Amino acid sequence: MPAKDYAATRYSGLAQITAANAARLRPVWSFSTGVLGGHEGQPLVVGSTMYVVTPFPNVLYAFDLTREGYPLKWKYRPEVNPTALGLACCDAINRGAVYADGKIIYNLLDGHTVAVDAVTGSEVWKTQIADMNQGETTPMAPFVAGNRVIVGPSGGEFGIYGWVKGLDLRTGKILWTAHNMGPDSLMLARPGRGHYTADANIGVSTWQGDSWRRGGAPVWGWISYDAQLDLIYFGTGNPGPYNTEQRPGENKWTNSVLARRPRDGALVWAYQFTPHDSWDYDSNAEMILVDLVVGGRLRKVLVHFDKNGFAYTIDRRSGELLVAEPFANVTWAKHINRSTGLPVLDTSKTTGASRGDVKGICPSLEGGKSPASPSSYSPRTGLFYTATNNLCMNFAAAPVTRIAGTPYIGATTPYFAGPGGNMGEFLAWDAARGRKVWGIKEKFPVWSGSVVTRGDVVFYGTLDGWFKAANARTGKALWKFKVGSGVVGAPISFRGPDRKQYIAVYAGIGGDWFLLSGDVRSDDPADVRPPADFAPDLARHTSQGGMVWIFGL
Amino acid sequence: MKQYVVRCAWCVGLAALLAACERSSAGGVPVSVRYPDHVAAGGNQPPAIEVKNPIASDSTIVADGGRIYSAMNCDGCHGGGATGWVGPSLVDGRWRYGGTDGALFESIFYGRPRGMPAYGGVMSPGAIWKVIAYIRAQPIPSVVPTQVWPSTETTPRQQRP
Repeated sequence: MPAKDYAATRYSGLAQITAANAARLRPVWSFSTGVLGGHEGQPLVVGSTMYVVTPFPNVLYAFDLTREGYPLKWKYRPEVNPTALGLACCDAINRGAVYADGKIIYNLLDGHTVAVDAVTGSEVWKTQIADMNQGETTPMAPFVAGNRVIVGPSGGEFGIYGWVKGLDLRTGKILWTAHNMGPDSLMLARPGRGHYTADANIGVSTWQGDSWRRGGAPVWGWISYDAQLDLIYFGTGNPGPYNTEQRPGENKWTNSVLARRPRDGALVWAYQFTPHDSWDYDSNAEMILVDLVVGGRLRKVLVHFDKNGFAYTIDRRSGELLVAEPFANVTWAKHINRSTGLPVLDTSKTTGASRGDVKGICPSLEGGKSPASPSSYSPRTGLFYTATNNLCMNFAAAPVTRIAGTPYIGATTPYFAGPGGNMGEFLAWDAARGRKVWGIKEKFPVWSGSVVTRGDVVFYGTLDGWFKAANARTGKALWKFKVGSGVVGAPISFRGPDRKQYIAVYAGIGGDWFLLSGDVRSDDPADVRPPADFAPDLARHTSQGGMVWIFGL
Repeated sequence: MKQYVVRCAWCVGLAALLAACERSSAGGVPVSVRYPDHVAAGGNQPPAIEVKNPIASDSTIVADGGRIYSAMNCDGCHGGGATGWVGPSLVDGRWRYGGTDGALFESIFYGRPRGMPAYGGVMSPGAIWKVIAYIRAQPIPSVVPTQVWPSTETTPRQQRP
């Protein structure tokens, strides 16, 4: 599955590559995907086949790892409506595929989920799940819990009415649709659940009028599953529009974690990280499920690095907040009140059309960490490993009108580097105590996922095109290799048919960096832009590209 | 077709386009907007018409166009100031689908296949012409073919050819 296991740990039990020998890593194979655009997500290895989904037009490659040069077994080239390119807020990315029941299942950008026979490459089913006319696109990686395929849309910048759907694994039929706001009947919610809130129809009462109908709350990140509790966990994205004055109220359940039953979608509990979001702090980042001793008690928790700069440790049975500490530079809030679960705001950083240009908000709306950059967890070190961004912003909101199928944003938000000047850091986090254990500063924001192994090596990539290994215990840099384009994907570790351990990763800058970096693009002579003023050197080190790399000893 | 003709009572350019379409359809050849940058097979230009912005641009029209550019959420894709975002820059002096008035009108009215929505159903032709006037009034920044970085890491210099 996309994040290795149900718990989304991205922990590999392989230990041939160690801190002692990682310096000897070398590239053993590479492949151009033939596609530009942000190569987010990760390859998927099932048995002796590696599957790769490209950004739009969402080609699926199946590589035979048993033969020299890893030739293709097949490739699947779906028909994808290019109109989707204008509805994807932030580049035409895809976050990967999931394997279940002999099928490779992934989303096409234009609002379809497809299941492809993992052996033959033939299409088994294809289901329309999202409506592009409403601004919905579908770059997220589907998740499978039991016999349900769980999917959600992007479109927080298009005023969508956010949802998740449960599809039948065998047929692709949509069995349930659960909205993230609105009346309980549409949220598939029963009142009285959750640690902090018990009111009925909270998805209506925390909005003004019917603003919930176009209030965003997309589901474009990662999903995890506790089979014992029979709960799936996922984050929702920002409320729309960015201008807070068009949506008074807490706007539940935007910027929240929701726990639902996979069978019927029933909402069991929810917790909102950033009520009445003023800064585009989506909460689509992964919810990593671990058992941790917190305050002297062994707790079943989920750990989440939010765009708002706080790392949260939450009891995953009830939604009770246990730990919330900043992992990045934060100015919008002073702290999170643990008993109420609410942030204590610095109200001078609250935005809105009547408040003019609000200066010095940290993190920027790229997030203290991007949800596109999934973290990893090692049970050996007990630490979480995450990319972070050290960017701040000014935020000038403006009134905006929703026109279905066009952006619904209403803000101008220039960025600048935070304290220290380094725009990124890759760090190790102790989620029981809420503190950083070590960090590696990077010149540019760190936008890659990570994988950590039983050999106590952690891997990540940088926007300027380096793929790196570090000692998971100490943070000591062990090895790096220039992969040709900035890394916005997530590395994986797998055992090849030759029983050797390999590390695979995509190169291919894009995603938000397609928009932000300005001049890393060379394929369109009619689209020439100056470099980003806050990162003018980035294009010196990278241009767009799409490559799959495999490294080994 | 009828509703457009009614709207176009005050829109000279589009009326001319439609009139041309009607004329040409009699001969079985749909006439389109001329793209001077296209190569004509055999060196012979196909029948095409030249559409001009019927609204004379002035500072009021440009300001109106700027407001419409934001109100129609154009900035959400093409960026504030039209300098490019998920959609291409509209102020680099370069065009994917041709930079004539007629080509720009077609791009906005009918949309384009790689993501540009068709705005003809929600914008009057007059509003589209004002947006075109706004885009044309923007300065073209000093983005030029050659970009040079100094030996130390600082802001790249723009160099004129």
